[in-house]
Amino acid sequence: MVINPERLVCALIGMDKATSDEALMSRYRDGDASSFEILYERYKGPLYRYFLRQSGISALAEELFQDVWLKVIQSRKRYEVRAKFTTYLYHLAHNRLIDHYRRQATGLPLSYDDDPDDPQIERVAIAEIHQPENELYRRRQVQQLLKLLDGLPEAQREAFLLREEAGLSLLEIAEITGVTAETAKSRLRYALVKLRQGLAKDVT
Amino acid sequence: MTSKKSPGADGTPMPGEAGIDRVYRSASKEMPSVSVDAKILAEAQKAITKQKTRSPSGIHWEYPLSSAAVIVLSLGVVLLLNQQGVFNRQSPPSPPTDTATASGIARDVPATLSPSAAEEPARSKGKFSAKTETVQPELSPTLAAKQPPASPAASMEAKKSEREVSALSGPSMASGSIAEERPAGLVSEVARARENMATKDIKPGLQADVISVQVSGEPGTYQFTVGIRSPDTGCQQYADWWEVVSGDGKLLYRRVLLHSHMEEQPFTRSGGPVPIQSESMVWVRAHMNTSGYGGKAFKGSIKSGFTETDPGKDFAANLAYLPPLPNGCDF
Repeated sequence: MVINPERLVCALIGMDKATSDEALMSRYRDGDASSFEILYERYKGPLYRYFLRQSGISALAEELFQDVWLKVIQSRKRYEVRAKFTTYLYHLAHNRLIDHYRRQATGLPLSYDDDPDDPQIERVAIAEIHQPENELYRRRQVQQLLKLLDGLPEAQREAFLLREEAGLSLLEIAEITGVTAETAKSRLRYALVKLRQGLAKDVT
Repeated sequence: MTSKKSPGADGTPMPGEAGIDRVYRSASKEMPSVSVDAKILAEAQKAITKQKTRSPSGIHWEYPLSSAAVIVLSLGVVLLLNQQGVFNRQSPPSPPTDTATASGIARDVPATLSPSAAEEPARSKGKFSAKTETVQPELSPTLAAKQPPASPAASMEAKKSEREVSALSGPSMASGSIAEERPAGLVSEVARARENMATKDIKPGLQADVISVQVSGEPGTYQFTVGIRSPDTGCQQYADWWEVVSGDGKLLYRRVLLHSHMEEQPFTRSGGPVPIQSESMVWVRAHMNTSGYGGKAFKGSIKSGFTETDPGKDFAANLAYLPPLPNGCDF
């Protein structure tokens, strides 16, 4: 019988879509390297972009990205399913990022000391985003969004990325970043308001 | 942590999130490089293979056996030397046992402490408090003060070097490097590097060797992937950058390394864009924070390939003073 490698891969991918992250990580802990490959494939893009947007430099992002995965590999024996794998992974990522900030000359960005009870944010109107009519317009909007994202304070940008790239809930973002749910909500809301206002301004 | 239900708490969209989400997703497509993918997957595979090799039956019988063998052999050697009267011929008195033990401990300290330092973020388990653990910019001068005092001559030269660096400070002279986009390097870090360089204390075997060079990309924006072997022991001794230097000694690109690679030897790090053409002859070399340049380097061009060549330890040594310089060592 001849096995078609492509069909075999498709079959494996189909099978693995049904397997939870936690089960894959547990399997890797128990010695199944192929489970790690599936996990890596699922999260390499989002995690890399989390670091890329936070650092702004691809080489630095790759360094931090690599450190986090090596940490996952090194601590596999201690892995226990207590929470979602994404929470575990981004916990490591957040810690690595903070560790990196702290060891830089500038220290931890001031935005991590923000006031969660700032009442102003609740009064800021959410601007409407113009729906792009053509491809050129859409591209311009995308470029503008990335520029605006780059200009956000680190803590707000991190909340946005954990939401967009990791797909985490506010409670999970709060847990990972070690703040209250209100602070996480405030950071995310500030980020969204600034991004929407920036995009609306750009179009008008 | 409050459990109050609010928009977004359970993953439901926050007000105004939907439109942003759509635009962001259409923009967000970047992926890590293939070399990084390969490296991580290889590490994952290696860890499992090592795990299986170490304990095929789950019983670690080899450790007690090897320990017993070492003890028996050591006793045998000591007895043999004693019989030959080697110990009796030694004229200087042996140091007190406490001192010997203490020095033994002191030697072990860096190796024991550094892994713990690397574990620090994991230990915090996300409960990191920014307010309580913020590192002030004054930390590095403190660290620098902990360095062993240099000789007066070395200090004078270091001061002279620092003046030279001050004159050079300003816009980065290397293009497209990591540290370029960071804040300017700490004076203390620079001073320490100068001090190390000023002593000219290049010890054999303590250099960072370049062991491989791979290049991808287009002319003017090449990406270099450089393999390095270095005697890292932690932040006190580690390879702190690799760089691409033109044939006439000009810095073209420098990849500052964020941390030591004690437990990852040899290691590979990529960087770029390197602004050269395919026929440009360049050097690729690494730098140690303790002993500077002097390790194995590669020379060549994209067209002809790269081969190990000795540039001599004094080749373009002044580049060690130029930015971008390390802005700290993570661990």
